[in-house]
Amino acid sequence: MKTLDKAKVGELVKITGYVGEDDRIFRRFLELGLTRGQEVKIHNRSILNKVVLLEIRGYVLSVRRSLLERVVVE
Amino acid sequence: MKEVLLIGNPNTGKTTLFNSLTKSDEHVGNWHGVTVDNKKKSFFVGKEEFVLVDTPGVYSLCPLSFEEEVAVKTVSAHKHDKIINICDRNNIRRNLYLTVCLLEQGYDVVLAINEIDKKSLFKIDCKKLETELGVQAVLFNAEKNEDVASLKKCLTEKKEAFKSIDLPYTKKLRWQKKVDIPSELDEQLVLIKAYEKDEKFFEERKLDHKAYFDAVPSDSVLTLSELRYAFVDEVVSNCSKRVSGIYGKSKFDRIALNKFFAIPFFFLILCGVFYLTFFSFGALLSDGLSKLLELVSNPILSLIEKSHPNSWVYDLFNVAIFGGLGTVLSFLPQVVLLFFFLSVLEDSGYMSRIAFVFEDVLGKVGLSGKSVYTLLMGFGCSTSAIMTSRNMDDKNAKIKTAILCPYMSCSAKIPIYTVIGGAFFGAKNLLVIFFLYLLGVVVAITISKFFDMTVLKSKEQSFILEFPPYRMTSLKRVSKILWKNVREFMLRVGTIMIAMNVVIWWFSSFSFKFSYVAGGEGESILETIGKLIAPIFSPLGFGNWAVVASLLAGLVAKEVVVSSIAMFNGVDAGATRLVSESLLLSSSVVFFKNYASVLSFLVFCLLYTPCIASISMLSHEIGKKWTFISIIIQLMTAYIVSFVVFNIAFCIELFGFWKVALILLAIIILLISIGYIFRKIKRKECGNCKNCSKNCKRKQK
Repeated sequence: MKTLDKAKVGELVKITGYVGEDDRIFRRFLELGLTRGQEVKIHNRSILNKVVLLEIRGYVLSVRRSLLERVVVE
Repeated sequence: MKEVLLIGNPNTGKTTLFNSLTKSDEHVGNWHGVTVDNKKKSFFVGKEEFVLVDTPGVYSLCPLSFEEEVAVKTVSAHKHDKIINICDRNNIRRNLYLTVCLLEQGYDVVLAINEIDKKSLFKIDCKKLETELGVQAVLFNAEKNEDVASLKKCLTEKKEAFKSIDLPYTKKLRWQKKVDIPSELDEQLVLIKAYEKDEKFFEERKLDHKAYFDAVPSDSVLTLSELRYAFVDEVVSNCSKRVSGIYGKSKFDRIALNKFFAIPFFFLILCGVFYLTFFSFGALLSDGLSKLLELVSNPILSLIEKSHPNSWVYDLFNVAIFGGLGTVLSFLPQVVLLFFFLSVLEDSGYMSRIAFVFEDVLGKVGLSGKSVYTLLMGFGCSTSAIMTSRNMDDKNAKIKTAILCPYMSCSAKIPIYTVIGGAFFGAKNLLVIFFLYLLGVVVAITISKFFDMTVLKSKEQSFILEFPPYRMTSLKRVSKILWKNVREFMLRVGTIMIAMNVVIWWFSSFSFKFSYVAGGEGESILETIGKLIAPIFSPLGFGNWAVVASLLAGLVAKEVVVSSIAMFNGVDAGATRLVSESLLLSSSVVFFKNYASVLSFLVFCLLYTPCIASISMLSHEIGKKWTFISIIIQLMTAYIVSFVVFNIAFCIELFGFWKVALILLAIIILLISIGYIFRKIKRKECGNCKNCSKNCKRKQK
């Protein structure tokens, strides 16, 4: 099972589901449009690779990488 | 009177529209979470009065940070007639999600689509959108008057004019078990709330949420949001045409986010801003203004001198009003310029990139990349910056950021550095000011690290930040920003500064027996008190009553430090920027003994307790306990750092730069090696696990 935090810069992946509990971060991801079936492109990463830049639903979002462990992709 | 609510995603232009509709001047910027509290103001459409409520931006009706909570509470307590839901045209697919959430709850929504960005990524058919969603929809640009007028007209139209639709996906939601729904509640609403797993909704109605949550599928949250998005996607594809591009993506980010250039680039921009403010451009304007003040004040003073020769009235005007106040007033251009540059930076959208770049580094000291925004604003005014710390979602990180704000040297301290530093260091003052700003940042980082290791440990933070597109500040806004800051500065000088200067002048000119002592024998009230406290500051090099009194006065507003020193010095009315080296070093009262004491005084000014306004804002935002702690820490660090700076600078004066530098280098190397050895020893204790630190897991076992 691959999670979104493992994706490399420039990679295009598809979200297939979530792991972990139902918390506020999970809800925020859904509100921001990281729903199943959506394609996500990894744009950039920060100097120490703690934050990544995603392109989703036609906009750009920066997210702390550790939070993306929750998102399962293929 | 009808109440209208402005709601929308962060950074969609709610406050900009608020300003246009109510002709206000609230702070706006190209950043997520500029507005952190509700703002209310009334306006008229024809003869009908409306009250407009501006709320902080939200993504849905489930809040994550402090300021989102404010907005969500306002919406749920909403019995208002209409909600204006603002969407950014270029990010409509994400923005309509909130609209759908609002429609589910049955609110009367006016959809206002912001098209302020010239580059359009979508072409939107408003009429079609109206029928698909069953709401009024208007395209608008808040800077155009006719758009604002047409939006106003929407507010007076009745809801019935637009047939509300049943959101088609809600039919797919079903109870899996039978549940009792109180008759006064709308069944559909309860179902949606159960799908959302909104505990608060059931709590408020004194219902047991468990029964309801069990009656919906276990992945209900996921299902509901996917259904909403599927609906939004359908609406968007029916009503709009995608032109090109990605919202918030820019070629410029290659430099701004580059691994190697990002941080140097940021510092280059900052240095540029400070150089322009303090030296080239800003200094030129300030000199011009002080000459102008001289021209105005001289004839007035000579007039007073003729009518009241040798009385205290002349002194009052000469010393307190023209001398003290003039010193501060001549800094108008520099302060305004600094605020202007900060506003341009804020409008540009670059701040979000900075937050991205610094998240890594600041994470190490227990702050978030989002803190950068608050801290940068701190260079302008701590009071308003502290309020922006609310957009942090971790409580400890919020407290830390707010406490650190005053260490960012605020604009009120510009006169202190320029006048006193300039008098003593001349051209080298550029280096001194640079050193002071850097010192503030370094001290802030050290304190943050200290807090993070002890009482205010940050949790792993949920850094989720959208990138706005880059924007140029429009010419209309430039003039607005300038005028706003000039006005605020004049207001400050005209009220608090005048009052403070007169009070200080009075205390320093009259004795406890209320006899006028200035220029003659006898001790003034301020001198008596100052002399009591002054010895405390002797180790810092400025144990002098006048300097100490000016620091005390500075608690009200930092500019007063310099205006009161100017007053005590017995100012020549004409020369507003008068504090020259000769005056200070060899005046009847010796203010500063040597250069080291001046430097230590400047450092103390940088670090000690901020003005009363900031303190009250701090206690409002983070509570009395933390405010008290932060004041203690500020006084302590100011004292310690000034002491160190004074002694090092004094040694440099005595022995020369290189000798002292060598000794310091030796001490630093020694400290580092001691630290290294200690770490080695620790590592051995727990089996050389290489990631040894205080929170080593192996050690805890």
